[in-house]
Amino acid sequence: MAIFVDDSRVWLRGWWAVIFMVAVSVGLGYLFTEFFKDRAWRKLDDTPQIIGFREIDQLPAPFRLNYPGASQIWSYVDTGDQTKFICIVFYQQEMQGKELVSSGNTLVGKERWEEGKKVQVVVEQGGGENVFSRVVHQHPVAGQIVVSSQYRFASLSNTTNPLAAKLLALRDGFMGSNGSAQINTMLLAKAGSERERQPLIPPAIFEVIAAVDLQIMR
Amino acid sequence: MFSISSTLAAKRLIGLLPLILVYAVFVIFNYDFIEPLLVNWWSSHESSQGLMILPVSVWLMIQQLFGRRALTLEPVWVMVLLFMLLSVVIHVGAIMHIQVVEFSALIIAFAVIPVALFGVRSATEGVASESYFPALYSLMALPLWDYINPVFRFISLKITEQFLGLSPIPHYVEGYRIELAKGVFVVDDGCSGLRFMVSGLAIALLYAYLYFDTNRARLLCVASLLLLALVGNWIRIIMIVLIGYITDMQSSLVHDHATFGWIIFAVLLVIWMFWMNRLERRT
Repeated sequence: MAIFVDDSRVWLRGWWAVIFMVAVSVGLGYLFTEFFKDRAWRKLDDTPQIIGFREIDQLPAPFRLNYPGASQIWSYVDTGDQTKFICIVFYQQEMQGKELVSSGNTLVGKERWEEGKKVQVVVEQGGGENVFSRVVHQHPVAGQIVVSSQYRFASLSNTTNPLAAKLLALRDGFMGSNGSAQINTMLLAKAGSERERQPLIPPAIFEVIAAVDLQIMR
Repeated sequence: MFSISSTLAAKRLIGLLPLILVYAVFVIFNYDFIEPLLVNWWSSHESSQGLMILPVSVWLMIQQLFGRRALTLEPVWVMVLLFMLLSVVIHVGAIMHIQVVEFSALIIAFAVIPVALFGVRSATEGVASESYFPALYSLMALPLWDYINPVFRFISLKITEQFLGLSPIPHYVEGYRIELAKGVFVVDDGCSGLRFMVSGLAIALLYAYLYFDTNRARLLCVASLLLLALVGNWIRIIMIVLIGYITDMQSSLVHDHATFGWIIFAVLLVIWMFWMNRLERRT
């Protein structure tokens, strides 16, 4: 019954491939970390300040945030109108299907959203164009209408590492700015019985978000 | 009897040690990239089939290796270099912040490892050639399906529109919004039916590989389930619109119908399996 390991010389020769593949797995991560350790990415430690809103730990019911994979989430409440909230969710990378309002990302319940038309908005900020898309969603919860507006931030991060800069430029050449990290902002409002009320994110907030330094994290 | 089977199992395990070692090191040192992939599969309706496809692919590769008389390392250096290239691409993808590149390179690297270490044998005298299918099957888990989603979303809209056009139901279609007298439906990304198609394709390819020998039968096997998954999704959308119309949008199905879609898919899958079973016996 000749089974399996039957030629030790061939066996040992084959181990060179194993050693090489192990070395690649271990070494490449280390090399890349070392090579790019001086890149300019840094974590967004400070919460972006939005005039007229203050930060809160979490949104009140019925909002239940479920954004797997998000790097950071900030929540705010309007200092005047306590029924208005802002939620900012930051993804380090462009995430497929990770829109704020989708069947995968749930805010309140699942798949009960009515989605309006998507409108592209361009804001000049920081020496470049920031492309946002604006959508109005409606969701009936416990007799309330929740209206939200979603914006996708598609600005590009910067780096001082020349190779990283070239790679990012290459990425943008192929994919456009949509391939960059993304930040989503929502204005949530409990609109009660006023179904027609559809507040949009005020331009001031827009500019704050566009100006946020998004040189982020690893 | 016991000692022979336990000896065989032990030798198999020893033979697989290099594979286990490379997989373990690869997973540990790339865990930062693997974790988001697992989270994505776990939390996404559209790509959750990856959780099944990759383990099945690795299992098929190991089963194929167990068919050998002796499990010796037969490195394919082109594949070893491809593994190195993919490892670089994983890191470059991370720096460029392109998750689809990271995920794709990870999945392909996973499939390349057994091929790089043990190769895929051609036919020799008295022994049939091994198949590349087990390795290629893992490509089904690549996160590229979303790119064709808009096409199937559009087709779903048009089919629904055609049906409503033939029915007496008053309606108005604007973009992907279907307005009825009592409410509005939106043909969402999730209504494309892509999730059922990809799941169907994964099942049909596996079935065809395991149970059919002729290309004609394999083609029939795969095409039929693809078509059934697509038609099942159209039936789902049309039924939901009808239920919404009849119940004045009060039915719970109007608001949460993902499970409803899987039930229709499961019923069609059982019918398909009976059919394939008959086809298998005939061929």
